Formats: sequence, C-alpha cells, structure tokens
Amino acid sequence: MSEGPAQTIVLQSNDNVAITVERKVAERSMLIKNMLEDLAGSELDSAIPIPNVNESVLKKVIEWCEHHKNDPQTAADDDSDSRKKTTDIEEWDQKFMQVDQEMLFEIILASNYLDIKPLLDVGCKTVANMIKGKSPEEIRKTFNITNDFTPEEEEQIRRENEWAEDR
Amino acid sequence: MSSSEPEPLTRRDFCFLTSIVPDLPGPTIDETPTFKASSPLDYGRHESKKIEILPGSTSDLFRIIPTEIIVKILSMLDLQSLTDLRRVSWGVRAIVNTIPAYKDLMKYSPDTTYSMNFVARTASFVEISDHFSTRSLDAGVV
Repeated sequence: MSEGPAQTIVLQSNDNVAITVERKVAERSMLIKNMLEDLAGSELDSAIPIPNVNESVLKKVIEWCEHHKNDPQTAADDDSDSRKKTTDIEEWDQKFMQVDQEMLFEIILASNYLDIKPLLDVGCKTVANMIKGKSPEEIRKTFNITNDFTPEEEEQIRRENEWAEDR
Repeated sequence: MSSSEPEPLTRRDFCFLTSIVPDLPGPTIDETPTFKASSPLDYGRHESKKIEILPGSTSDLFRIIPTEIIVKILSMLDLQSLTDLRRVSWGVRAIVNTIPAYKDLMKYSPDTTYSMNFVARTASFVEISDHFSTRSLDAGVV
C-alpha cells in the first residue's frame, strides 16, 4: 500500500514535456483514473504519455482539474443537471474559458479524450454561448464560416425567417 | 357482487360516444394554408439540395471539433438560436438537422414547434425559448 498524503504521478504531453501532478488532480480524468485502477498494485515508474495533448493545453487542463479536484465526482452519465439552465457557467470557469478560440477548441478536444466530462460540458457551454443570440452573419464572423447560400437562396430563407427579425 | 355490473349503453350514449366531433370554428394550425408557406422551419423544402461542401471548411470549429461534440454543443441551444443557425450555411443547416431532438420535433410536431417558437418571439417571452432547449426536450420528452 502506497497511500502517501499527496501521491503524485507524471504526465507526458505529446511534445515530450513531463508534468508532475497530484494523483487526485489527475484522476479528474476518467481515462487516467481507470488506467491507474487497472494498474493498481504494480509500480508506476514511468510517465503516463498523453499523446493527443500538447504542453500548453495539458497545463491548462491540469489547472482546471486542480481547481476542481475536490468537486464531488458525478456519476458517469448523470444528466440530472440538464434541467437547470443549460448554458450557465460558474464564475471561475467563465474566467478560465476566456482564451482564444484555438485554445478553447483544444481544451474541448483534450477533455473529450481524457474523459473529463464536467470540463467538456463547460467547453461546450462556452461555445453554445458564443452562438446564442447572434445573427447568422455574426456567427459566420465569429467562427469564420463561409456563407455558401446564393443571394437568391439567402433572400428566400431570410423571408421565411422574417418573423424572427426584430421589429 | 352482480349489482355492480355496468348498465348496457343506450342507443343515445352509443351515438354520443362514436360521433365525430365537429370541426372547431376558424382555421386551425394545420388548416391555415399560409402557415407552412411562411414557416421558418421550412418543413424540409430546401433539404433536397445536395450538400457536398463541408460545413464552412475554413472554420476551425468544424475542422477541429468532431461532429458528435458539435451536436452536443448545439443541443444546448434553444430553438430560436437553432433556427437562426440554420441560416448560416448549408453545412451548418445540415448539422442542425441531425440533432436528435430537433429531428424529432420536426418529425412529430413541426406545427406545434413553430407555434411555440412564434409565440415565444412575437410576445417577447424570451424566457420561453430560453427554457425550450432541445436538451431539456431530450431529457423530458424523448
């Protein structure tokens, strides 16, 4: 039994940077948690490679896990909170997510890969909030989406949505 | 306990129970000819167009994020935002159409959906559409 007060493990990003984290923090990732449980008993003497995540993103993800390490672990598929307003984000997380789009998307991908459901949810909510209440043109600008409607199609669709325009 | 045996239906009862309820006065939603024509939900009118272009292939959002997560994100939106989103591009329109809750709404109750959305907007009951997210529909109805 090796139950030290602050047991640490080493994660290795895909650009070969080793990052030491408290085991409890790393276990916010269900992928890592399950892996460590599978390895229970055998000595973990090398770094755990995280092949899909680079250093800056991994550090950012660890920062989130650090802050949320004492959150109650929710059941894997607990959707009971989906009834509350879906795009509410707690203040710390909102600040945490104030990053450029590239980083935001990388965080979403990493949390999906590492299976950190609450972080994935926060990421998705952040993107959802970027869409909410925006006009189609604003959405195109925000996400750099090409408008492939012909002017005629656009006019037709706009007319159909006319009731949606502000009066 | 033969006393509790139900009395047989009279002819009058029978006629009442089996008669066809007369039409409600005035046009109902599904009878209004202009209703579908002016609906922003378009009832699939435009969907026959083949979509060969990836949704905004220049967009990081669609280039980087896998579709399953895009659908998860869009499922957090209210119907109003989804309706606006469908005006962004053909590809985005196609993705919105694949959201399970949105698909079910369009399949089973397009008229009701349209009416609710319409009421929510015209009466400025913004809160209605706020709470009328496809995600809550997933949880509650489907």
